[in-house]
Amino acid sequence: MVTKDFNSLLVKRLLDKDPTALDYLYDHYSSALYGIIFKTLNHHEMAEETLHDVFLKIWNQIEKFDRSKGTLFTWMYRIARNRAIDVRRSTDFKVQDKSDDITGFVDMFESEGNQEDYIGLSGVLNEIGAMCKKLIQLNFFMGYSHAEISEKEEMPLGTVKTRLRNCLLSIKDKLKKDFE
Amino acid sequence: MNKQEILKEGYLVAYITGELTSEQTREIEKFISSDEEVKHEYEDLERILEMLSFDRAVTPAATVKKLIMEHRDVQKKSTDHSMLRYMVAASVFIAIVSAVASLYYRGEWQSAERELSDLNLQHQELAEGFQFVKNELASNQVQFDVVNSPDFRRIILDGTPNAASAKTVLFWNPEQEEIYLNSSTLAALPEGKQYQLWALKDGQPIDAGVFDADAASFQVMKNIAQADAFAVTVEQVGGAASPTLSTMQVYGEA
Repeated sequence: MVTKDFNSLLVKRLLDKDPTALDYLYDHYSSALYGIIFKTLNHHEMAEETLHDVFLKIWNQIEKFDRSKGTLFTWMYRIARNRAIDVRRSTDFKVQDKSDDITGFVDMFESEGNQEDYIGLSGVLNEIGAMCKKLIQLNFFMGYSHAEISEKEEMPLGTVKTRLRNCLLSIKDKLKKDFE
Repeated sequence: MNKQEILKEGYLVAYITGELTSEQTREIEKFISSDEEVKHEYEDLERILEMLSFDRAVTPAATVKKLIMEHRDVQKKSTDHSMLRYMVAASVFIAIVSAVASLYYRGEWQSAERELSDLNLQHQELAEGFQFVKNELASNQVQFDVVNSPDFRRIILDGTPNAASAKTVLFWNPEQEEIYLNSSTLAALPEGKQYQLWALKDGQPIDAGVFDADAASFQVMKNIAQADAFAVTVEQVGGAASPTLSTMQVYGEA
């Protein structure tokens, strides 16, 4: 796959501490990772500081990336998600009164997508239902664990896990042609 | 944990988000690397996550990138002690090299200075030699001029009974009052003695200067305008006010 080959080349250049690779990495992935971080923190200044730290961590710890355990994006996503969760839990963040309450939930999929919708993702998201979108948003974007979602949505843990998986697989089914 | 549990109970999603314990993580990784179905579903979920993330991307402020690019070297500095050590080693090396070089060049410099000093000495010797030759030449030129000049009268002073074999030649130019004297035939004198030339005019001796016998060249004597005769006596060094006639060596009439 061209993308994988390209990413392994990118990783190699990052390992060589090539600054242009960091430049490229940032240009291609910063917005996607910032979306995750910002939705977790809902605070631009803190989110931007976090993004800064995340990219430096990616840059400094690229040798910890193991392709056999997943894609480069998955690895970077974990770093961004965990870092954002840590910031949200920090006293610094709580002092600024950034509530980690889910009650003020806003469906982020209501707004227009950032990317050109060439794969028809918007239509697919509309089809999978409000609960699916909420579970995905809470788990993937806002940094809540299955257990936290279960507690806050008053839904059994097993149900959260199963429904989330089914939601994701239904996206895959509806976009089947892209997964061949 | 079996394959169906992993698939149905959402472990792969939890693995992606990093919610699992390290023990669960190891087990899931084992399945991903060994089971095609698990691996396939994991890759599908990764792909969906990436699609959704890009679909919901938010552009951060431009300053973030600038700061990241500026700060990317900060971490490196902690490991840069090796660079520091290298630089210290390099500076020590440079110090040693320059010390050796300065010793070497000091040696070269000293040797050059010795050579220069030698050359200066040689030059001085040559200059002295040249000056000597030049003086000789000048002296000879004077003698030649004196001998050949029609203005100089050549007067032979013959030996008295005190020095029968002695003979002195005197050149006198009464117009210019100049007197030159060749003392080469006079005998050497004991310590403390000098010859003295006298001009005799109307029986009165006039001091015409003292000279040494061993100076084998023309002696320039005092200026004398008028003389009937010349005589040389032996006197104390520096000369006497009046001649000691008993010591007269040579005598000749002008």
